[in-house]
Amino acid sequence: MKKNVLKSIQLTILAGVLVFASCDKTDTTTPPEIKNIAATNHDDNTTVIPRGGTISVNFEAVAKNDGRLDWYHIEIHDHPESGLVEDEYRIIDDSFMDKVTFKGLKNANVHEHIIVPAEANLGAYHVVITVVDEYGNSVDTEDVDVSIAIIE
Amino acid sequence: MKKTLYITFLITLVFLGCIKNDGDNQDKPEITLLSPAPCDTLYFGVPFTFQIKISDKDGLGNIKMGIHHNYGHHQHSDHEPCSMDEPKTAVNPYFNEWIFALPSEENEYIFQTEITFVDNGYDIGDYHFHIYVTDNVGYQSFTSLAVKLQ
Repeated sequence: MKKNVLKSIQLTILAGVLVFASCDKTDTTTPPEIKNIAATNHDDNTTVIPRGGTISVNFEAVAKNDGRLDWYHIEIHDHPESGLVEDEYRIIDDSFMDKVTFKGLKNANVHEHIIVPAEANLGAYHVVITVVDEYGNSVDTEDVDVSIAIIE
Repeated sequence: MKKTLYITFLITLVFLGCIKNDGDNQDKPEITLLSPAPCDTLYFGVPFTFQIKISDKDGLGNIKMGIHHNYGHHQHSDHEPCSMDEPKTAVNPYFNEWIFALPSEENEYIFQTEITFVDNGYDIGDYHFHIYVTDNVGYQSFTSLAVKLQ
């Protein structure tokens, strides 16, 4: 009888160790996800925007690990003939830190209005979103084709 | 027999203990717009009541509302279709934002506040609210509401 009780106690301790050891895995490495990204002319929902017009950039970010979202970055660049990054014209190249509707959340809907400068180059632009979580994991849409065209 | 049951129970415990929430959308707060109604006309200089019902099993976080013009009839996913004015170019459009904390211990709450759009010669016409509601553990819901300003 005593032997049985001892065995039960041993098994219980083993199980307890197993539960905690196997579950003590805080995920700090899975990067966030960017969903439903769209960049359009704020005034008519097309992807053609005149100089001085407003671009509406929308997306949803989701933290996919045990952490929270931290900040995001929006870059809208054109494609210079030289192909050189340093020759790109950028309508925006800004980080959005400490946004009360983003930082510290598990998911966030983002809607930004961006004015096209009067001196912006005409032609096609690529919209690139980057999202970073509290552990520093980031994801971007560099390889996603989200494009707009700027006209006179 | 007893031993087999006991071991099965322990193994079940190990696996149950490890089921994790993958952080997807099922935990977002639920929003029901009460006032103004979609497509209502609001007036500069005249106060109105903004009222919204919010439910969430984890308690509430905060609410942010913003209003901006929609003279070009763009859509934000879940607008009710309204009768719109002719598209026009914005000259002096109204824009404003509000953020309020919500009670963290409430699972169902009617948020209400009185708002007055200052009458300062702003453009009249089609506008819409963007409404973001966050719960106590960091999940956010978004909705929008189309109105007319006169």
